[in-house]
Amino acid sequence: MNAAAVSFSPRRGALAAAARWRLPFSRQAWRGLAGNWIGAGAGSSLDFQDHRSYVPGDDPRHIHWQAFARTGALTMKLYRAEVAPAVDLLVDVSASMSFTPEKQARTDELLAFCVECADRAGAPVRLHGAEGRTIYPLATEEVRADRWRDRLRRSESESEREKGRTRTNAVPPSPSLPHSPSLSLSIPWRMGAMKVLISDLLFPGDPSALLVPLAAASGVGVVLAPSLAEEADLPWRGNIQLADCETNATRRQRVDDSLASRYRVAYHRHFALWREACRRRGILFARVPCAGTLAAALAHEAFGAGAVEAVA
Amino acid sequence: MIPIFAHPAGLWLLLGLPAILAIHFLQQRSRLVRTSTWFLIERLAPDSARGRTWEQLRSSRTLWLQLAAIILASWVLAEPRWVQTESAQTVVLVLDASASMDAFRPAAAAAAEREMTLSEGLAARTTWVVMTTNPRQPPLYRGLDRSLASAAIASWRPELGRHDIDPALRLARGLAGASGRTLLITDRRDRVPPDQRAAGVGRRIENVGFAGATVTPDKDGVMWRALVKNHTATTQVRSWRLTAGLGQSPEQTITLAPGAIAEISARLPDGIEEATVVLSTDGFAADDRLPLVRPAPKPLAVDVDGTDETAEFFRKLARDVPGVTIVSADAMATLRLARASQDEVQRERRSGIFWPPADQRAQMPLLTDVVTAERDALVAGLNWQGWLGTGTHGFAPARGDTVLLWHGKWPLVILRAPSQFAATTPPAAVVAANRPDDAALSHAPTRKLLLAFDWSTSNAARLPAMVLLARRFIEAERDAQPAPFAANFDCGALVTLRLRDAAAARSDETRAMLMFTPAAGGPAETIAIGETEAAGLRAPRRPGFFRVTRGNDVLVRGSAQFADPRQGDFRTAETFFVELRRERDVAIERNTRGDPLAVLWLILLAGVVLASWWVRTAGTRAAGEPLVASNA
Repeated sequence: MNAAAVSFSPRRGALAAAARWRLPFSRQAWRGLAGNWIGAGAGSSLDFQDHRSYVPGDDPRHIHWQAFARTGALTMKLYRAEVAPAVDLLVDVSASMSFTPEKQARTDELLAFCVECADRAGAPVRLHGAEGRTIYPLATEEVRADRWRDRLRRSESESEREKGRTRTNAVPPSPSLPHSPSLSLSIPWRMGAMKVLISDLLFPGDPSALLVPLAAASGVGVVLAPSLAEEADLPWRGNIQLADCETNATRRQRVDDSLASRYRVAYHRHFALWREACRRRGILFARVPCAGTLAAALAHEAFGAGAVEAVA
Repeated sequence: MIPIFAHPAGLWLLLGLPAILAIHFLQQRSRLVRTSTWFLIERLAPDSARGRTWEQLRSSRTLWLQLAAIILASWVLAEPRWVQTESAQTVVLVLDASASMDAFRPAAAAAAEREMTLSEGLAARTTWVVMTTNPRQPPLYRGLDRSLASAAIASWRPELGRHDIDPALRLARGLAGASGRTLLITDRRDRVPPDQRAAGVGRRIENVGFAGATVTPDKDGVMWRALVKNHTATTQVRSWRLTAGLGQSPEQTITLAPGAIAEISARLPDGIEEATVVLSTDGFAADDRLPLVRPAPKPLAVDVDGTDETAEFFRKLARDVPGVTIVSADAMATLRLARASQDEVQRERRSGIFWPPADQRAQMPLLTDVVTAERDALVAGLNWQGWLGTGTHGFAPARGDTVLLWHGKWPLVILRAPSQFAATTPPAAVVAANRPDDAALSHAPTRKLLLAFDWSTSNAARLPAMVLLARRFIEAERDAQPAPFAANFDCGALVTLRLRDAAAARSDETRAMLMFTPAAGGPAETIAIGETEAAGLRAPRRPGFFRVTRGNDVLVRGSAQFADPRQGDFRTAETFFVELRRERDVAIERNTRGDPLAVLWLILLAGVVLASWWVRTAGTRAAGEPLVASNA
């Protein structure tokens, strides 16, 4: 282990990014616990919202006395509620997310960034990891302490021993969809929560299956996809023994310029398809490059797409 | 202009072309690469062969650069040179004239063709000389036309026995000169001198053949005996039969152990003048047929005077010589054997053996001096050590006489003949073969053998040397007669030919002709015999029957028998090639000029190699860096 690996901390990058960016909490009115964000209903903030007639049970502190003096009718002065939005985080923990150390680091940073943003917004966070069709609940404390991967490995080994007793979803991996996280099946998205998916989206299948629940039940859907530059191309030529990082399956493949060219087109088409599917469902989609700092990486597509917003 | 290559072995490098193509047909050894986009690749190339190693050839810069590098490297290594327009060379093909080469004539022709093809481009003008190692045979072809040279080789027939090939090779090198080339085409490596280019075209042949024959008349007819030799290292079984005209004897089988010699014999049927003993055929046909003729020596009428002991001795001796007829004194005898005085011998006009009247001196002591023979065919090889006599008596050598035998300083045997004949010395081979008939080729019409000693006081009648001397003389006189005869000859042996009228031999009408019928079949050949050729006439080199005729007269009727069994031994025959690098290099250096662009090709080759390496490693570098990162 080198010095750079020792000194690397996802949380440090996340804090630096969180100082500039945050999740797009400002995009809508939230419901939920009292917090710092304008809620969808009336509350006790300083922001005036409306007047209405008094009904028994209303807080007498909000009776509009000047109006009662003019009209003699008890009128209530309503203010906007200040709430803390709930944040649901789902992070793809499949092997492709750890394909390179840079990608794994960027994934860790994004997860820490999201948790940090939620913490700063006072939003309760619920965190899950997904690998194939298996969902692992994760603790935010582990993320804050940069130990969530250790816990995840323990959970995986326990899962292997107990044959899925600790899994929230007992559906076995499908041979027909060996690479799909199948996040659509049983992700416990909460109503009205900000739903953030961190995944490289490198699996086949229709994006709708994953995006429909992400866009449902109000709330805001955000997809943050760590992207590795070398995944966009086939840099090798000749006879290659390809090994799938997800399943360790191998196949012999001769890679030439023609195949590489078609691969580049297919790669970009794949993400264009995801981007279009997210746009149609109002989900914020951004690919986050693995190169550079997280703060710099979020400044481009993520900020432009509204997946993050600048801290005021 | 097509160049020639100083180092044609460099062209072997062109084998790298198919090798490179094969390598590019084969998939490269696959590298293991982990990927996170498996599903994309699988969707793009669903038909990729899993586990297949043979792929369609894919054009690439690396492939073409490597092919170009191979071609350039072979071009540079082969060192192309261009023939100078004024260059000339002489190519001499020396064909081994040994009879054993008859079995390999097609291979020899093929070797000659190869040599001509190789040599043709080495100079702008090539003179072809095709010759044999037969010192008596002129070149088969000399000229610029290669096709005529090939035709001459195709019609060539090797017929000689074992012979010295060095004179022919020296002549060939002289003809070729410094810029030319010589090639000896033979079938045995041991015949090739160390500094001679040679092509061996031989191979082992399981040969069994005749190794010699005798045909001897006896009181019941004519008996022939033939030796059959197995030249192989294995036991061989052959069948043989006697054919004569349209008839033939029943086939008989003979089994020969490895290297064994067996004798087969039979009596020549009455009335059959010519017959052929035929062995079952093998790879070498020259010794599979043994032609035989019923021998018919020249007739010689001999008059033996007297009835004393000496006359009876000579009568008995003469009677045993084939062809000799003892006639009475009244008849016309060609040869006279008689007691005669010096004066009577002087007056005698016929040839003969003469001995003096008995020595009348009493109590003459025996001489103890050494008996010494002169160099003459008649006394060659005879042992006179047991001679007992009382010294010279009766005759004294006259001017022009040849003393054949000396007893101390006294002449014992004198040959009286014209001087131009007396000095004649027979060929050593003939002497060794004890063939005085051949040795006495130039016998004078009248030769007299004078026995200058007292026969009665000597042991001449009991000394084999004297018996042989007398018999040789009678046989020589018989053979010197201008009369027809029939005999069996070895191939190429001398044939004594006596023409009654030598001057007439010069005219075409009365010129002697030799008609040869090969024993192996084929068309008969007729050869005119000139005046000079008649003196050294030889039997045909191939087995068969021949006749020498002049006008309507048959002078000689004979058979030529395969005579050198060494030619039938193919155990050491082999195929080989002895190349003298120096000779070809000298010819190329002299007749060609080098490639002026050689340096450019070298630079280009280096450039292509570097470019190929760069292109090859560029892909590896591009692929290698992320691989390291991904697997780290």
